[in-house]
Amino acid sequence: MSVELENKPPVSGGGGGWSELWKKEDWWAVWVGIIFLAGALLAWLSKPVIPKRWGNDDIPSIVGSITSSMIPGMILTGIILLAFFTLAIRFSEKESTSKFMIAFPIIFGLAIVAELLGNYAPLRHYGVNSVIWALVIGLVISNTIRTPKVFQGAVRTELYIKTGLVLLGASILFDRLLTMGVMGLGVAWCVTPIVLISMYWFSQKVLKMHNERGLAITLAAATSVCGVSAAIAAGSAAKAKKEEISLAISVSLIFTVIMMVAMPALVKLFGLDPAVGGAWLGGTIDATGAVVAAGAVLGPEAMEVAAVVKMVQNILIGFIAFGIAIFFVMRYEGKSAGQANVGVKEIWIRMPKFIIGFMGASIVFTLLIPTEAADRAISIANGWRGFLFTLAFISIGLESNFKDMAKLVSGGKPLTLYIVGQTFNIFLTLIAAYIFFSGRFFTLPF
Amino acid sequence: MNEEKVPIMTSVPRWFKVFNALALTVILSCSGYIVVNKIGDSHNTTSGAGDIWWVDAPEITESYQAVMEKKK
Repeated sequence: MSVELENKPPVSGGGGGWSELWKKEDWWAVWVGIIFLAGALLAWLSKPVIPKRWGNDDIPSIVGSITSSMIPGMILTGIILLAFFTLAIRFSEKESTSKFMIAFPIIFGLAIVAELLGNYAPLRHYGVNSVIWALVIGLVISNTIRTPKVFQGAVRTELYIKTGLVLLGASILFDRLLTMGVMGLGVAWCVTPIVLISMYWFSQKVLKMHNERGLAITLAAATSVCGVSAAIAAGSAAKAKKEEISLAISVSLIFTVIMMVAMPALVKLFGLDPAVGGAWLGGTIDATGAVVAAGAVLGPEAMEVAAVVKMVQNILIGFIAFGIAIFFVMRYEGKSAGQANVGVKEIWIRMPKFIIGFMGASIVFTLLIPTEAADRAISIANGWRGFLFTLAFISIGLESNFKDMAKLVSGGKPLTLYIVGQTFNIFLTLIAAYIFFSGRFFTLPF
Repeated sequence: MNEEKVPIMTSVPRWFKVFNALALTVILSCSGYIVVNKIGDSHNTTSGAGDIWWVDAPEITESYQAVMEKKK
């Protein structure tokens, strides 16, 4: 089964009424996200209790990952999620409420297993995190015993993923944009849109991926911005199919492992200045944690530059997701509906609503919330965001099958797109890193 | 929800498929080699490829604060 990551297109003349605010699941993702953020800000919500990182010096064995003192907290975590999402489903799809309430504990249990496996430090270092384990667990169930009917009531990918994206929006703080002044912007904000647009153009004009536009833009965002998070945000904004987002994430993570090791080696081989090398790593390696790990190999200065360039690049994700949502509605949805021009009202009706919550959370947390309170709330929200993505990828796995995923990679176009795009990204970022961080053209701000 | 079949990409020449199969084999072998041999100092760094967002890596905030301190 292949399902688009979006609800039905609005019936002509029936969309856009006020009742959508409490009847559409898309809006409920925003409301639930706001409830989480308000709870985090008002300190009546703490971080979710999930298995701890293990396989390291602090907790060497899996036994220490879940202690008996954590069990009540884990149950409470499940109850909070069940309560918030039951509220959403009660209003948006009343008849499914009881099915959801019965199935959610099972999906929650599977997500806890994924977190337990994904928190094994040695493998997590190489990208095998809870999102990947969630996808694997879901796929194994759906492709072996087939997803039992009782599970299906809580398979709510859109609701989990979009709520998670609203929480993600809160951690995009615009005021950090100018941390490194024009240099950070030069590497993170000049190169990124060029790579994104070029990759999408290449996918459509050269590779002719006309039936896989969602996959193309998701891969382009993962390559040019920040891997998994960008793939989830861009894919949701473009209403990509679930298999397309899963594929983009898998490709990105496989390449991240290679780049995390190969890029610092290249910096040493070329004898680059630590600041130039750091900026190069920060602008090219997809996953944020991998940027830090690669930068650490080159020393503290390189890691500092790499980390801040990546953080500045992360901020771009909101604008990119917003732009993609508008572009896809205007360019493709209007045409498929037989409209020559798509008006503002039509854009509003068709646009995925999580974007409003995503951007709104970002603006509020940047401009209205004091830094200390924002940092504390973001830390709490981030814990919930991570677990919501795990729930989403359990759901995606349970709804997907290997055949459909294999069809997407047959022919090799996604792989070609990624290789060509990432190669272009590496060259362009190296040039930008040299221009902005070598000290020849600009004075470094530190 | 809209249900839609995933399209099969068949409109590519044979050499392109062979090239991609080879590229995929090399990439998977490289990443497998890195993971199996634990290349990349996984023991001494707290963050890695599994940390997908800047809030997941404490070094990002530390680096940001260090840069802001230096700018003062």
